[in-house]
Amino acid sequence: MKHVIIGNSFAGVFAAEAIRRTEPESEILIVSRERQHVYSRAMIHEMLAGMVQEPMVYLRDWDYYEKKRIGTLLGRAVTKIALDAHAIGTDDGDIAYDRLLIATGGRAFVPPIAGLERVKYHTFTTLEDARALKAACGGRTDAVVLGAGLIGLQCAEALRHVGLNVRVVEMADTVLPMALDAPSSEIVARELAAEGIELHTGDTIDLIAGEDGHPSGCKLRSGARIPCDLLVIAVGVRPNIDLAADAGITTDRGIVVNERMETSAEHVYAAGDCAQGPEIISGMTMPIPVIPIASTQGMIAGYNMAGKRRAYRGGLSVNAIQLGGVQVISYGFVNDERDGEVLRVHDPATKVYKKVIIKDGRITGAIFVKDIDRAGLFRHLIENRIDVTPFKEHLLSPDFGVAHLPAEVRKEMFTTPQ
Amino acid sequence: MRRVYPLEERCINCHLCEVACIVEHSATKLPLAAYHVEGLRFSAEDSRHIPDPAESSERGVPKPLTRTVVQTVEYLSISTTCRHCEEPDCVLACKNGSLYKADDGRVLLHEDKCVGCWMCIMACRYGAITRNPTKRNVPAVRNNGVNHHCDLCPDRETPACVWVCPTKALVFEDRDAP
Repeated sequence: MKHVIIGNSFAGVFAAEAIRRTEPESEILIVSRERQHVYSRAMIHEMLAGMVQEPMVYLRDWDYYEKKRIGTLLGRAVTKIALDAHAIGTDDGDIAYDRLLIATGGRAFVPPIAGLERVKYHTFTTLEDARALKAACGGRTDAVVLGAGLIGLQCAEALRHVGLNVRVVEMADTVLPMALDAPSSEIVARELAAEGIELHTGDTIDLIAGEDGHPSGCKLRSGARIPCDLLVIAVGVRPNIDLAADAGITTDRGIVVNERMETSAEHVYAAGDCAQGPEIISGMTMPIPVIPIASTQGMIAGYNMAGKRRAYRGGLSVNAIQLGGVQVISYGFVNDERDGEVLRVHDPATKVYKKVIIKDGRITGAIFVKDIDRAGLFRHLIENRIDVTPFKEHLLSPDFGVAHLPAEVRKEMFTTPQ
Repeated sequence: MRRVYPLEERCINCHLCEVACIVEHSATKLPLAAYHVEGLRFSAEDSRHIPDPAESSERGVPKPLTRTVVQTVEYLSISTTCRHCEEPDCVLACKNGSLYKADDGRVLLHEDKCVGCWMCIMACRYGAITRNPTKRNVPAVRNNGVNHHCDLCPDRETPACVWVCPTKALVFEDRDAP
């Protein structure tokens, strides 16, 4: 059996490991456009800031592929998937597969902005992006980051750390509009402001002025003009679905997969940021670009590719964010409070903020700022659709823990191997 | 594999499992030295929940870094620790591969690699992971620390918490399906 995996990040690696555990002898080949040893895209801002040494960016040891007997073709772009021939085409020949995993991740989305075509700008998703941005920082003083999502803010913090003036422009009225609600976003915004990062929320860039191919300033919709000699576009990431779509595989926002991570094409699987799999609270399918879902989908795909039938129970949107020394953890749909009961504690002095949204006895969203220990219990409550009505008054108490859970829930968690 | 399982009906809320854990993972493995020389102190501050271990550490009241935690509500108490899951959610979430499933089944940490992003705390459905602020691999990040969880006492045949428990409320057993 020959397994071919397109993509060399979380989904690809966990798939390869699941295949290797199940089939010690089968052939595994990882093909990736990127030349790098397997690394984490969630570490590139720490790289840019110079906070970590490069080895900490890599997901696995140097001899990993050798030890696991995984073949690699790194720096090789896949150009097509030929379903009938059971082969993928690359810029240097075709490769046959018995089972194929598409784990192509996402790419930075760049919106049209007047003046953008005339200047050099950066995106910030790959290690290569981080290296290019780092190299471009020399001699620059005023960075502008468009987009206050996680990637934009982490990039902004890193640029501030290396000594630049940093301004962040965000269309929404708050930072991290997707991951946080207004009060928690406000806490994060204050921390960023205290670090000297200037936030322009509820605004966007209308025009980018440039000289000799370099940006020199931005005119904002509000009329404000801000200096800019280094521009980063971080408004979002889109699933890489073109390879699949061109081959006639069903795609929507992402590559559509079922609970076994199978696409519409036989023997072709998809996992990670490029895939659109089931979501656990809504039951709908949607791409959720977070590490635990990529890893888990990759693992499930790998087992199924190796003939071990495993079903994915569905992904939960999760975030663990650290900005300005404040830790934030969130689960589910944190801004959808319609028809829900909202429990909340907020202590501005300690910056502790916690919120839980309950609908029909089940938690559908939760946010924890600063007081994050044991937050994971909420993941268990959400994913297992546990009725929290009997103990909901304890949910946000500082010592909430397993002792507050119903005895049968505790028994299931602590008496059998997990 | 053998894992630590709590029997809550036998637990008397004595917290000796926590003491044994702290001592076992100290430099000298001697209780007085662990608590006094290594600077870990019980205090009124420590006895209740502290939102940020790094901040309490800076205030000079370090929380003893136990890896097993007795959780209590009224007359119920239960000693909880890492489940060493078959498919660990923390390993699946770890953002740079610091957490891994060892060949012997234990979930372990590359201590020098962990950057303290707390994806593991977000992921662990048993709430079994805490923050160790005494080791900081990314000092530039405020309140940095590393993952802290049970390692099943590599120097012992039976984990210290199980060994010390006076009522056998913790057992070390293989309950895997045959």
